[in-house]
Amino acid sequence: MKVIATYNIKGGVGKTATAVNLARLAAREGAPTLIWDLDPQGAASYYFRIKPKIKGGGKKLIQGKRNLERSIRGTDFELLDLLPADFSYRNMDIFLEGTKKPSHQLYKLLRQFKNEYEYVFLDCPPSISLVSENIFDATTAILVPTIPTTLSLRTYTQILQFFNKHDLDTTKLLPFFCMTDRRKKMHRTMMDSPAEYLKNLMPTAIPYDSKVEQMGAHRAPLVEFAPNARAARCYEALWNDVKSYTSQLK
Amino acid sequence: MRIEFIVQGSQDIEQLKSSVQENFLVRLEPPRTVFRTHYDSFDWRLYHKESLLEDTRDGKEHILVWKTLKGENYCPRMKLREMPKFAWDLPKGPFRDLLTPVLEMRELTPKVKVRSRIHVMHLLNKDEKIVSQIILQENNLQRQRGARSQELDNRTTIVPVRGYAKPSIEVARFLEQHGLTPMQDDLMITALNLIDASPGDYSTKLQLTLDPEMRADRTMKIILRRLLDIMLTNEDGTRSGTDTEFLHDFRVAIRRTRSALSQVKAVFPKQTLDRYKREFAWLGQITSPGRDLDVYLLNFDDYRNNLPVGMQPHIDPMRDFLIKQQAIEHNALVKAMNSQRYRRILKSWSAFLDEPVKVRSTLRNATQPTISVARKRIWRIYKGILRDGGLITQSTPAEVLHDLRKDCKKLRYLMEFFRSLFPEKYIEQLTRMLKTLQTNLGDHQDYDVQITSINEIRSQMQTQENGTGETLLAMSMLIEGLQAKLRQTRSEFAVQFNTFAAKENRKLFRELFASTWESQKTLQ
Repeated sequence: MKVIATYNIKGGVGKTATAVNLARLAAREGAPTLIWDLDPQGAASYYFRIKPKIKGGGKKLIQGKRNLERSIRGTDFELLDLLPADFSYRNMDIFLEGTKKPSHQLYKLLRQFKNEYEYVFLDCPPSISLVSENIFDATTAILVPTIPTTLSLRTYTQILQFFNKHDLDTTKLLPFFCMTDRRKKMHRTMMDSPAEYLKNLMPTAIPYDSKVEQMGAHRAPLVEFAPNARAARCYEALWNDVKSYTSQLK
Repeated sequence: MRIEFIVQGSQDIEQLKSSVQENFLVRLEPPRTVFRTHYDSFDWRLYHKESLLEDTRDGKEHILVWKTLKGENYCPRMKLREMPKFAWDLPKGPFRDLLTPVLEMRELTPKVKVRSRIHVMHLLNKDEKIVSQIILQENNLQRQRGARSQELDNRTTIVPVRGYAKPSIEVARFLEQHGLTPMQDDLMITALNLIDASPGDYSTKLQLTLDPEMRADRTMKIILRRLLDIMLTNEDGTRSGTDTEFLHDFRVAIRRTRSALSQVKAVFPKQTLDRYKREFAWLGQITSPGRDLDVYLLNFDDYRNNLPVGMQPHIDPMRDFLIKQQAIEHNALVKAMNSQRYRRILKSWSAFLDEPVKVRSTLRNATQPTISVARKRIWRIYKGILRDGGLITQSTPAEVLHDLRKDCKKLRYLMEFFRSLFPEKYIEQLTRMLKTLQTNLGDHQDYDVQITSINEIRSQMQTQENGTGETLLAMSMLIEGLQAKLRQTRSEFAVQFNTFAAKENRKLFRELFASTWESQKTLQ
């Protein structure tokens, strides 16, 4: 089982769109896949027409006192399941603090699915906190959508610093350019000569595409309702990049 | 959970569809035809695990579902471009991990084929999310195994979406109210019955209920006939050579036959006995090299994994060499099986077994009650094992252990032939004890033979310039590893033998096979 997170401290960079589309692509290829919507805003759950609600609230679930398996919902797509968001996830740090090994809890919870799913995608909330530490611990790879702008790259360096400070494995970090617009000079410059610290930069960038915004109206992954859209084709290429990178990891 | 209903002949599929549409929010898929095949190993390993493996060919895709007899999935369904032959042909993942230990080295074979016209209805909630699937099936048994193509029950299956049980329960209630009958049996079980296939009907166990008072020659013919049937059942598979276990079962039946001929003495005329002993020895001989190579190839991953990681790729040329040799030996075996000699043996052996026994016989054991012949013979071999095994020390040559292993095998076969004559509980207990000792002796023999054979293969590869220096070195390391295992099994022999020869087992052996028949009856 490979656990792949879409993560960034910054909001609105395309984390959910990436998680939703890549998860759908994985399942379409025949791999049993789970997507866990960890963001209290519940956008991934919304895209799949699933209520962002956990019976009994998120606390018991996170602390392992309620069966995680019972909260899983099947999506409209074969082999793709979703663990919905819950508004109480805004307090996830507090829930995690109440466990024996707070930074290890997500890993512990996910272990039970190792025979059931081939991929687990974690759609993460935009912050750097105990939740993020759990994500760094539990994942095989962390996809970091990055807009080719100064501020966006600055947040990436903040993540890197956090990793270095806590002696975490930076090879897990897979940045990729997202919402790119080659008409903008800054985007062009940053994409053509990427900064040195973007070590595992994925070769595929996801262009800005108004079709991605329509996911909310269709309530479905882009690769499903507009498979020929530019961004949809790029998601497919990105998924191939991610697969080939993660297959080399131990 | 999966709920299935049978649609009676009078109920129309189109009518059913419209009444579901009138009462629920549904989205319809255009009807399509799929081809469903039930797969299992030749010896029904999946069925024995109370499960069914179904492949649905839907256009160019194969959808593989492994479910319990009650219809619950063992693991998520799998989409494939082509149907795998063996568990190891599946892509890495939970499906393969769970199926491999059940199926092991056996090939998946189609057991029954059904063609289904399916009408899929997606049940939606108010967010237009799919919460259940209703699949109406018009089923037809395809022409196969002498059975004509014919209509099967039409069925309706409700497949709930995970986390949304209620809507499926509501639809099930609705269908029941509309006169549909809930169905327990899987469609594939019904289809198997129609082609006269009985799931789980193959076994290499003798499964005979013998009469203790029946004369021994007649009983022996019954036992030998059953062994011949096992051989014949595995004949085609042995010829095709894809699944190694056909040859294995074929060989075991030959070995048991040889054991029966040599161990149960003075029941058949000497001339007949000598002929068939010679012919079955030939059958053993022609099947032996192929099986040895099968065993090396089945063990190959273990050999490889026991080498240091850096050396592992260097042993691979040995696998290629073994595969080539296996093909040569298989061809030789098929040639032998196509020979007149082979055909003649089986034909005359079958005729001899079907021929009624002569009323009078001068042979010592022929007209004796089976029970007394069986007990005498088993007791005699058992005493020999106790005596010879007790003399073995750390310095005893390996050949003595090999002889003891052969005697244990003879004893085991005799106990299997005649097991129905003795109280099940006790014969099982003694067989278990014997099995443990046999495992130790068998491992010892296997390691010893493998060391010699791999040494020979190594020399052959060296002569034919088939292996690089690294390959030959890896093979030497493999031999060293096997030598260590050989020493280990040898050092464990004494403990295993002492357990087998423990006082309470000796007592039980005596009571079953040496005391008077009357006192043995009291055990029952």
